[in-house]
Amino acid sequence: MKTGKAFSIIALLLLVTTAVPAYGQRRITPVQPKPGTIPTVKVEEPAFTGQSNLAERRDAQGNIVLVDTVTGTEWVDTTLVNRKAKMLYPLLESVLIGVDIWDPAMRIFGQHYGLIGFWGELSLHNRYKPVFELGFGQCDDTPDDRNFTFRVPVSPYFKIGLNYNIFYNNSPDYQFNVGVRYGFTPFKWSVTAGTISDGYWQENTAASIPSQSATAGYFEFTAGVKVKIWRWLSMGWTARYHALLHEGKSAFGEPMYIPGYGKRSSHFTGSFSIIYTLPLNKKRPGGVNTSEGGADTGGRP
Amino acid sequence: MTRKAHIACFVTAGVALLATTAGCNTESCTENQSSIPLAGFYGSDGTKVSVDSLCIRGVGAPSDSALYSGSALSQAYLPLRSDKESTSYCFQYLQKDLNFPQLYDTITVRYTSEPYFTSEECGLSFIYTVTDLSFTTHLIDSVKLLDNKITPADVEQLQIYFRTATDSPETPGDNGDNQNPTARTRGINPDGHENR
Repeated sequence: MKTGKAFSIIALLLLVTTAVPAYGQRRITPVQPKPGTIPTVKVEEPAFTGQSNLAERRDAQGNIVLVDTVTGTEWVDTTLVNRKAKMLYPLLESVLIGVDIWDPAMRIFGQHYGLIGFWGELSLHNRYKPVFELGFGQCDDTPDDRNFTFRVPVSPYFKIGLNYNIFYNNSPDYQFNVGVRYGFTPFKWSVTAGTISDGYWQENTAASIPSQSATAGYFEFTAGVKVKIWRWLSMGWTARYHALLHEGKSAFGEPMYIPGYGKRSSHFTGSFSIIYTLPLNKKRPGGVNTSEGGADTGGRP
Repeated sequence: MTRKAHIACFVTAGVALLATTAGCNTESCTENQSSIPLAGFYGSDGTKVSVDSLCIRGVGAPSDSALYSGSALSQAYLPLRSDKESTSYCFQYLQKDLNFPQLYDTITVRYTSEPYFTSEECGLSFIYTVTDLSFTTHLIDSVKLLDNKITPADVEQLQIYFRTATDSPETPGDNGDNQNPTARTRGINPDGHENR
């Protein structure tokens, strides 16, 4: 009987101790927020936990991805990704057509050879520029204190080569190009009004060389600048270093002037061109952007 | 870079280019401006010699002028006549015991000529092709033609061998012996200097 009473009292106490706290809990009634007033909560990324917790894996593009084993954060190791500067300009960027007026200008200063040249250039990505030149040379020169007149009738020359724009991702309006050329010319030459004097015998003998057919091939290294003057009009200077590669032989000697090359004795010459630019693509590039092998850089290093 | 800066660089580059191309060039003529045969003098034994008191005159030269007069020579340039097909030179030995006209030697060269353009600096000249070479043999033993093409290149193309006697000791039979004359010579070391 007494035991029964004790059990009753204990049960009652248990009931009280559990019911009272349950009765004291807050009742939360969900509140529907007004539209547009949802507060943004910044979830801070877990801090970098240290080099010792890093693991590596490779993604589908072959880049090394570093994984923080503590926080689970992943990022691409950008130090190992090849940075390829993207060529901003399209493949067919423009066509340039130029007239080389160096020789006509030098004739004003007393040069007695050279005529004119024309050239066309295709701009690929504003970087690689195949070029073709066609020109005409002519010579009618009696050098000072010399006993002859050297003549070359109007003769063609051809050059083919490639230019490279150093500043290919800058505006095409201003360029610095380096290039190479191979030139070839078929021409004729002759020497007239020659007089050969002999000091001992005191005889002056007239001499001349009839028209000789000849060919010559040569290479050039070029370096030049191009500057936009107005809309489609540009001008450009080019310095040229050249040397003969091959030429036909004559029993009467070697010509002193070669069309497209100039005087045999000089390795340096220049050109000055008036240039017309024909754009092939009117898309203008945006800001400079580099693509790192196609991988998404994502988080911080 | 502003547009003005671009144009300034453009003009500067042009001036530099003009200065560079204007300053380069003009070599001088490094070859003979005419094709003149060079004759070297040798003794009978083939050694190079210097012949004393030798006078060389062109046959038919204006005022009978001498090309070389009374000097000791080891070689001589013998210019060919450009408007003729042959040239003759008379070798006169002015040494005391040899100065007789009947001992003088004559060398005659026959040739064809063609104009040749050497270069802008050297100009126009003739190239001669020797077709015949004849000579007397009083004191000249023989004449050898190394190359029948006479060009402006400065190389020896004729070798004249003389009957020679060494300078000392002199042998009595060689002095004043007109039936077997020999030119008085001095041997020349391979470096071109005379033996004394």
